[in-house]
Amino acid sequence: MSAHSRPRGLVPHLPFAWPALMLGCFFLVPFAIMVVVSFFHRPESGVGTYEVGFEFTHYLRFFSPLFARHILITIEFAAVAALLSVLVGFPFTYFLSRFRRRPQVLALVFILCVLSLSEVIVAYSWSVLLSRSAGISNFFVWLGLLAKPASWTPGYGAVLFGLTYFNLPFAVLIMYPQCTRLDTEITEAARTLGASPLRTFFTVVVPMLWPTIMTAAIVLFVFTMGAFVTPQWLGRPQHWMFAILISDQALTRGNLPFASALSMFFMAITLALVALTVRLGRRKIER
Amino acid sequence: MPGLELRSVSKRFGPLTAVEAVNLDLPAGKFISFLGPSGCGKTTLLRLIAGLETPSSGQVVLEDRDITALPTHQRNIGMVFQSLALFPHLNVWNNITYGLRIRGMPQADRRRRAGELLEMVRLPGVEERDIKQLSGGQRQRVAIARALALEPTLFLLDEPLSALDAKLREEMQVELRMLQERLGITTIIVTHDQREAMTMSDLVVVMSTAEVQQVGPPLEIYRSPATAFVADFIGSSNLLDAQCVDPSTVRIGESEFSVPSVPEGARSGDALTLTIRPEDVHVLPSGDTASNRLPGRVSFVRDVGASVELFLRCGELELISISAPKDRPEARPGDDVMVELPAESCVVVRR
Repeated sequence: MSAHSRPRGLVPHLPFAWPALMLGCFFLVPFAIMVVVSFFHRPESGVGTYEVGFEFTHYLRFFSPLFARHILITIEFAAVAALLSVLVGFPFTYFLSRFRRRPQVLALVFILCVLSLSEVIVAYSWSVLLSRSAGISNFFVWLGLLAKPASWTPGYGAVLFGLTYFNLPFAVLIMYPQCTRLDTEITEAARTLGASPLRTFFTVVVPMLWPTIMTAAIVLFVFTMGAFVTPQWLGRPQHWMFAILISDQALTRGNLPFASALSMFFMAITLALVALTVRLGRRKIER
Repeated sequence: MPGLELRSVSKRFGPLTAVEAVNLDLPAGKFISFLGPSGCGKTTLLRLIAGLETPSSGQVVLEDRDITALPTHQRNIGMVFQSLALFPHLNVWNNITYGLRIRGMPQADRRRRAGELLEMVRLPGVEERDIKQLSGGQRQRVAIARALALEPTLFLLDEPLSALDAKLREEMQVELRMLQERLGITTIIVTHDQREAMTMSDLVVVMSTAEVQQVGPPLEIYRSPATAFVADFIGSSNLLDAQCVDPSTVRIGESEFSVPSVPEGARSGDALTLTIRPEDVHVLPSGDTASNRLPGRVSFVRDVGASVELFLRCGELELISISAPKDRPEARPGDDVMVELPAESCVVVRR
């Protein structure tokens, strides 16, 4: 009998039953329902109702300028916010990982505290801080940097700022483990070979940790695609990201088939973009 | 030619002193070993020379220039790290010429130089390989080639051979030494292996607990250790508690032994240590009394083929004698014998 023969019978397969059950109940079944509902018919007058059917009406509605605009702004916000969080987060995380143990732990605890704040609190706080009446612009006026208090919310910059702020702790936590694993002798070797600390960072640290940076960027991109509270609190209606549109269709207008179709479409776009990014990232590493 | 000078260099990490007031004057073009047990501060000393650590006090002077405050990347040193620290994201030739790229050498020239350097470390033809595709010994050679690519003033090696198996390690020791002689570059290697230090170096710096114990050529350190620590650490030694009687006599227990000399300034009654190499301890038949001899008993015989070790007990004292198989004394465990410590082989140090 071969030692590698497959286990037979039910018992050896039991450990897989639990994840299979969880995935089935909480992912596959709801997903299937959503797919089916997205093809259902919705009567003209009936709010919150739908009839069994099979039609592409809802999918065809995507080809309107309104949805194109919203999907583009969603991708733009997600991409730029992911990029900014990695751009700010990577140097921070790397230098943090070079510190001694104690300051590192303290900083991580602090970051975890920020992480425990809900998106609602973060968005609301920034909407106050960026406002004219009680915001930080008053502080800049006091410092003499600004002539008079400014209102920075709602607006494009405010949304981007809020999203980046919310992403930053995630960026740090995703990249931290790999950063701590980078052997200090590697950077020291670069220094003995004549590279200044800055050159070492760009010619050794960044290339070596490139896969980690890419991972963080992709995770944060997907994560930000679904942003809901931040764009609603800090943005104008034209800055509303796709999740707001979906909830608007499902909750306010009661058009569940269309909301389902939007979700499907949204998911497809996200997956396609992730696949593209992964491929681009891999090419960069091979080069 | 002026070499490397350390002027009362100290390094403290919080309450811990890694290097304590070290003064060293190392001539240029020599092969030097920093030898000591782990935690003695030898690696910290090397890192201070490389600029990877800043001394708490003291100065590092290279070729008459004070480089204490000079950052590592401006020191023109080549260093081989314990982990080798090759860049995993670069292939072999890009690893070797990393420093040349920083200096702005064109790619074609770098490529050619990589070939020359690989030739020099006797590993030609692997330019395009990935670091992961190399064996331990090959990586070693790539690390050496990379460190020497910039023709540095100082070549530093931090226990570079410790990861290799015994046979490969000995080959690399000989090869490193030949390479150094050919290039004439001032080389410092950190090691805890006294055999390694002995085979390679012109000069051995023995360290223990943050301080330099002795500096000298390998044979001098072996023949006349300056302290009991050096005697014990370099090869194995018999260390016997002794008392000074006069400048050419010490007392061990009840018997007196003639010795070539005692440490300068030692006065009658001072506590000293008599050291003698196991191969210098002679075992003679019982009853053959003379000076510098004492009666004892064989407690154990260990025959390892290339040599025979006799474990001896003389009253309170325990001694080991090593002899070649052909000079093997006719003694078995339990036999009474006469143990001779020839005067010219005894080295007396302070306790």
